Formats: sequence, structure tokens, C-alpha cells
Amino acid sequence: MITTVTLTAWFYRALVLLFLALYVFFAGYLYFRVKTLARSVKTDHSGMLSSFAFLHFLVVVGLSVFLGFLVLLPF
Amino acid sequence: MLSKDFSARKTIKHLSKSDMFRSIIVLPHVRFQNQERKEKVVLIIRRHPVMLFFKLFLNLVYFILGFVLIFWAASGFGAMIGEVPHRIIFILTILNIAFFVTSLFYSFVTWYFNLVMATTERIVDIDFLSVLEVKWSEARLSKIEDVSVTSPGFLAALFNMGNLEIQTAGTRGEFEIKHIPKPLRVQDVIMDLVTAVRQPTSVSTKPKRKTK
Repeated sequence: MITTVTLTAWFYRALVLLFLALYVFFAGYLYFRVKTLARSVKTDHSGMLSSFAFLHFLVVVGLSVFLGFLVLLPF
Repeated sequence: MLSKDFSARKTIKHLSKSDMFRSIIVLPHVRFQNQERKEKVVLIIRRHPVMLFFKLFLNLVYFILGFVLIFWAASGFGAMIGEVPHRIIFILTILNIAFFVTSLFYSFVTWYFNLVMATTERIVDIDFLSVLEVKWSEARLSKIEDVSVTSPGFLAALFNMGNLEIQTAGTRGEFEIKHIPKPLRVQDVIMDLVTAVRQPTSVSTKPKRKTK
């Protein structure tokens, strides 16, 4: 049976999932931005920063999927 | 062609020993988009490292505040509500750590790619305003009319940093480079480059000999 409490709980879950999705989007966009800049200005460390940005993106994706599962599991 | 012992190398010392945290690099090994064949990058200027460390410190403060809030939540906000599930506390803790790492990386990247390059032909200014906005602007050395320095505030005086304003002829007017270290010496180097473009034969890029 759907109650107000259940609906509120799902609303908060949806909010957290949206937040995680935005976080992934931000990390992805940051990666592409750093990659573009690293190609435009080639310094000694620009390649390394680009790799770090990619690693950061992968970690954020993995973490968001993991936390998403935790949020969706019944309490 | 510029020699390796360009005088600016001697007039501007690097602020940081670490390669990645240098805010002034003379004759760097840098290539950039639309660089002309004979064009050499003479100087790279970033904001003073103090500005970066200030941002990193702010991130640390937010991180600690986040943990304080999480501990408060774990205690049921001072027993105002019932017990908060452990899973929620775990999720919040992981998110707090993740945001801290992201904010550190973001702060460093914005500092690193917010740079000004002085080449033998022009000044290129790259502004990493946000993830969504990066601004490239440039001014030909031949169009530069005036380079002025302002050093506002207590921090600027303490750490020898200031704002460089470059006035150019034409519709664009001027552009400003904020919080750079050793602004007077940077101004001197830029004016040397401007003079070298205007009178190519009169300015030598080799260090001057001391006269007795």
C-alpha cells in the first residue's frame, strides 16, 4: 500500500539519485574540459592532469553507482 | 631567436621549487593552439600560489564542517529526531570525502589552467571561469600601449602580488591579470617584449654585462 511516508521516502531517494547523476555529469564535463585544455596548451603536466581527470571521472561513476544501489535498497 | 640565458630568467626567480606549483615560468616547454612557427613562449604567469592554498584551505574547512554535520546527524540532531539509519550516515560520509577530493582537484585545475602566456608576438590570457566557461583572449604586443600595476590590499603587500592591467589600442581596450606574483618584474618583462617588437634591433635578449 502506498502511503505518504512511502512517497516521501521515494521522493528523497529520487532526489539523491538526481544529485548523483549531476555529480557524474559534472565529473564527465570536467574531464572533457581538462582534456580539451590540455590539448590546447601542452605543458609538462597537462597530459598527467588529463589522466587524473579521467581517473576522477571513473571513480565518481563507480562511487555513484554503488551509492545509488545503497539508496535504492529497502531500509 | 631567444637564447636560453634570457635576462628574464635571472630577474624573476621561481616562487615554488615544485614544478607543478610554479606560478612564473620563464622560457617554458609549452606549445599552444594557433602558435605561429617563429613564435616562442617567453613567460607563463599564473595566480600567486597563496590564492590556490587559500582555496584549498576553504575546501578543508567545508570538509571538516561536513563531518561535524554528519556526526550531528548521527546523534539524531541532538536527540531532536530518532536514530538515523547507519546506511545514511555511511552514504553521507562517502559523499563528503568524494566532494572534498573533487573540490581539491577542481581548485587545482582552475588554478593551473588560469594562465597568461607572454610570447614574442602576443599576450595570451586563458581564463578557466567555470567548467562550463573558458575564455581565451589575446593582445598583440605591437598593439599594447600601456602596462600598469596595482597592488591593492594587505595580502597583496604581504605576498608581493598585484594586478596587471594591459591597455591595448583598438576596440577591446584593456585586460586585467589578477593576483600575479612579482607584478613589477612581470611588467618589466612585458615592456621589454613590447619594445623588442617595436624596435627589433635595439633590444637584446641576452643578459647585460655589468659595467665597472
